[in-house]
Amino acid sequence: MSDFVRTAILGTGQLDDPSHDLTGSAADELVARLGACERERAFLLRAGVHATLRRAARLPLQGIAPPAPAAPDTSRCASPKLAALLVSLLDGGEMAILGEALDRLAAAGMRLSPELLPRALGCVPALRGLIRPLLGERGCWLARQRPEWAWALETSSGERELPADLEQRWAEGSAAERKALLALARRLAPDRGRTLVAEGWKHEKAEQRLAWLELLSEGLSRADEPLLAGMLSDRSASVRVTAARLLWRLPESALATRLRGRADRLLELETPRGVLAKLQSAVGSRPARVLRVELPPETYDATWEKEGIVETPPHGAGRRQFWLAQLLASVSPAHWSARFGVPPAELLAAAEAHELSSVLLDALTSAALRHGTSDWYAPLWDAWARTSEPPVLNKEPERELLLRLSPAEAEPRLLGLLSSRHKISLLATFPGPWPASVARAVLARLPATPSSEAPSPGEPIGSIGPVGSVGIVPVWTELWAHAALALPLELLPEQLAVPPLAEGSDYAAHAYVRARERFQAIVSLRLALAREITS
Amino acid sequence: MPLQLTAAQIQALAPDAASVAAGRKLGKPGAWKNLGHSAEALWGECQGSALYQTRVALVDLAAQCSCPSRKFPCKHALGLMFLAVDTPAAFAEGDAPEWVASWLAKRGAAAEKKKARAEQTAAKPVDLVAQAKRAEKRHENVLAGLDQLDAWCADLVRQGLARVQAESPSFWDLQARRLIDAQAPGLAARVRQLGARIGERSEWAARLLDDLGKLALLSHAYRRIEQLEPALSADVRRLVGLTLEQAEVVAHGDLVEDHWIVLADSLEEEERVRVQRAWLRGETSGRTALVLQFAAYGARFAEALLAGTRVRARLAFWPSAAPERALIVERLAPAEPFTHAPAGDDVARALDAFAVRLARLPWVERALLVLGGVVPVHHGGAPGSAGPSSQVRRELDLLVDGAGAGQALPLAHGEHDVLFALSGGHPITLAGEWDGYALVPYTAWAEGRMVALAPRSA
Repeated sequence: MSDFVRTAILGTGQLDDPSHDLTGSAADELVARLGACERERAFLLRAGVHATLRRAARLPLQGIAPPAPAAPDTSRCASPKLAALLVSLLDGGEMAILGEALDRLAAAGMRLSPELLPRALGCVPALRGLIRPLLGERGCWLARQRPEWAWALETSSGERELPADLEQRWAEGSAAERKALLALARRLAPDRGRTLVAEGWKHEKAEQRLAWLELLSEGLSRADEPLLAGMLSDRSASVRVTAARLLWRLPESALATRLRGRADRLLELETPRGVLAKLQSAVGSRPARVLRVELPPETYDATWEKEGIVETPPHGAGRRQFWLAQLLASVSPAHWSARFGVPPAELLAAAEAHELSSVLLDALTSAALRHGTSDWYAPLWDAWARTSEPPVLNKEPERELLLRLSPAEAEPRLLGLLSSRHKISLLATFPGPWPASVARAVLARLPATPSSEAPSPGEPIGSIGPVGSVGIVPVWTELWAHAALALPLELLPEQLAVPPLAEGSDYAAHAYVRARERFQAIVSLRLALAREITS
Repeated sequence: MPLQLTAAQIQALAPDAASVAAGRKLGKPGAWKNLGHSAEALWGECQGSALYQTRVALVDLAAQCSCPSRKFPCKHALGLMFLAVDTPAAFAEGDAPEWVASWLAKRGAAAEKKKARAEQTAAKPVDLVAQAKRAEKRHENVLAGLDQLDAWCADLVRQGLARVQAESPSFWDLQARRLIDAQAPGLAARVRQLGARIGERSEWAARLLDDLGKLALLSHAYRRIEQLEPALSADVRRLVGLTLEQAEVVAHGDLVEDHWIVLADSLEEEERVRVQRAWLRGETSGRTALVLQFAAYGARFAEALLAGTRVRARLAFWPSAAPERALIVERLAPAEPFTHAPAGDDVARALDAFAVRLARLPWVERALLVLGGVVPVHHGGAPGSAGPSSQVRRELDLLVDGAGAGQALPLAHGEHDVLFALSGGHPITLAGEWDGYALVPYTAWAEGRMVALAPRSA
C-alpha cells in the first residue's frame, strides 16, 4: 500500500507531516499549479488526477503464454437452435427427453457445441455416460481446466486406467471418494478392489462395510469367495446376509454348493404313476409331470443365518414357506432345467399346479433375477400374469421381469397389458420407445375427447372405463404422460395435428385437457430436437 | 420469413421469466388462428379467457394486444414472436386486417407528432429571460450543494477512511439526499456508489479514494464551467445531474445515420428498475454508441436492441467531449440478424484507445473494448514469474493476445467457463466492458458463432 493511500485511511487529521500527502506522480505537480488550497482539498484533487492517470496508464500484463490449444474437432457440432433446446433440458428438463436427445446425438456422430460444454460437464453423475461421447476434443480440453470435471477424461479416450496412487488415495480419501475408487477398481481390476476391501475392512463401521460389500457385486468371481466367506461371521447381521447372498451367485462356492444340495432334497419332479398317467402314455401323449415339494424342518437352525437365510418372514407369509423360498432363491433356475431335463415353461406349469405355487413362483423369480437366467424371464412373466397371488420375496416381479425381456418377448406381453384394467399402469413403467404396434394400440385406447365413452370399438369398455368416471382419470393421465415420452419418434408428427381443446367444465374434463396439453408440449419438444439431430 | 431473430433474442425482450415460460407455451400453431404477416407487422388471434388480438410491428418489435395484461410485451405477443421464429410457415403473407392496419396507422401518426414536437421544441421561441433566471437559480443551488459536499469529503479524509468502514448505508444515503435537494442527482448517485465500495473484497480504500478524488475533480470542474470547452462543459453538466431532455438531444446532438450493429447488450437491475445497456457500432461511421434504457418492472424497453442484430437507424449522440451515449431517433428498417465477428483491436491498442478517451473525459467509467485474436487463460499468478506479476495476486483469468507478445488483460472475477469453452485455447473475438481494472465479457465470436455472455440479472 502506498503512503498516499495510508494517509487517506488514517486521516490527515492524524498525520501532521504533509510529506505523505503526495502521490509521487504527475498529479502532485498538476494540482500544485492550481495554487494554494485547503490541505484535504488538495489531497482529494491529487487523488482524482492520480486515479485517472493510473487508469489511463494501465499497461497490459506481459509475457503471458496462451494455453495449449484444443485439437480440432472433426465431428459435427450441434446447431445454435439445438443448443438452445438442450440448455433448458440440461438446466432441469425431463430426463427422459434429454437422454433420448443425447443418445441420438451420439448415434448421429455429433458433438455438443462449445457453449453447452460447461453445463454438460457439470451435469448430474447419472448423465455422464451419455454426455461423454458428445464432448469432442473441445470438451476434453475444457475438462482439464477444472478438477471436478476430471470424470470426463477417465474413459473418453477409450483407455480406462486406475490412478497410479490408488492405495494412497484409498488410505486418505473420504468415504465417498473411497466408494468411487472401489467402484472403479472393481470395474477395471476386481482383484485390486478386493485387496482394498480386505485391508480396510476391520476399521470401518457397519454402514461403510455394507456399502463396500454392495460394490463387490461388480466383477464378482470365485476369487472373492475366501473374503466373502470370512464376512459370514461379521458383527453386523446385514453384512452377513449380504455377503452370503453374493456367495449364492457363485455356483461353485462352498455355500452355494451346500444350499443346492439341500434344495435338491426338497424338490423333485415326478412322473405320475396312476392309472390316468398310464392311459396317457398309452395314447402317446406324455403325461404332465408333478412337482413334489418338501418344506424345511420346523425349527430354524441358527447356522442358516450365515447362509443368508433370514428367520422372520414378512407379514402374511409362513415361516417354513419363507425359508423354502429363500433356499430356492439361492439356486440358479438353470440348475432345475438341467436336472429335470424340462424347459422352463413346463417346470413352471408344474409349480403352478402345486399348492405352494406362489412360494415357488416367488423363489424362482428371485433366483432368475439374481442369476440372470434370461430364458426364464418370459415364462415367469407369463406365470405371474396368470396368478392372482401377491408376491412376498419380490416387490414388483412383473416390472422387474418386463424390463429384462427382449424386444420380441416384450411386444406381445405389452399388448396384453392393454386389456387388463389392473395391470395397464405397468405400461407406464416400460421405458420407451415402445414398439410401434404397442404405441399404436395405446394411442387407439387413449380417449379422443373428454366425454368419449368407449376407447375404441371391439375393446371391452369395462376394462378401463370412460375417462369421465371418478377414479379412472389418474390412469389416463399417467399413461398419457408416459406415452409422450415413450412413443417412437415416427408416430409423433400426427399427434400434433390434433387441435387444442376448450377448457373442460368438470374436474375430470379439466384433468384431461391438462394431460393432453402436457402430452403435446412434450411431443413437440421431442420433434424439435429430432429435427435438429440428423445423421 | 417474417421475423429474422432467434428464440434467445425474443427471450431477451420479455419483462420476466414467467412471461418467457408463458410465451413459450403460446408459441405453438395450435394456440392461434388468423395468423399473418406483411412487410410491416405480424399478427394473430389467440383464444384465452377471451379472444385476444395480438400484433407486432417488425420495425422495432413493439407489440400491442387486446388482453388486459399490464406486462409489456405480454405473453401473447411473446408467444406470437416465438411462433414466428420456430414456425414461420404458420404465418400467411397478406394485407394487414383492419385491426392491425389501424394500429400501424396510429403508431405512424404518433411518431409524426413526436417528430413535429421535437422540431417545435427546437424552433419554439422561449421566454429567454425566465429560462435564464431558472438556470441561474439552479446553478446557485448546485454550487451550494457542492460547498457542502466538498466540506463533507474533506472531513472524510481528515478523519480517515478507516472510520467510515463501519458506517451504515444511511451515512451515505443522507449525504446523497442533500445533493438531491441541491438539484444535483448525478452527484447524489456517485455518493451512493461510494458506500458500495466498502463492501468490495480488496483494495476498497484505494478504490474509495479514487472515487472521492474523481468527485473532487468534478466539483472543481463545475465551479469553472465557463472556462471549459463547450463539449466538456456539457459532460460536466450531465455528470452533475443537469440532464438534457431526449428532445433536446435530438435537437442539439450529433445525428448519425448508419447501419448499427448491436455488439453487446446486458440487463441489470438497479433499485427496482431494469437497465439495458446496448453497445452499437456503426458500419460506415465506425462510431461506437451506448444506448441506455430504463424500465420499471413489467414495463418494456422503448427500443428492442439485441446483440447479434443490425438495424438501420438515425442516432442522436449526447453532446460530449467523448461522445458515446446515444438514443435512437428513428429506425429506417427492421432489425436483421447479424452475427459476423467485428474487427477487433489487440490488447495494447484497446488500452491506448481507452487512455485517449480518459484524456478527453476523465470521468469515463466503462468503455467497450472489442478485442480480436485473444485467448482466455487461467493464470496462477506465481510471484516472480515474467512480467509485472505483482498486479496478479491470486488465481485470475486473463485474456491474452493470441499472436502478440503475450500481452494480457485481467477478466472480471467470476466464472468464465463458457468463454474458455468457446476458445479452447484458440484466438477469438470478444466484446466487453473495461473499467480500467478488469474486463467484463459481453459477447464472443468464435468459429462463425456469436454467443452472448453478458450479465442478465433480470
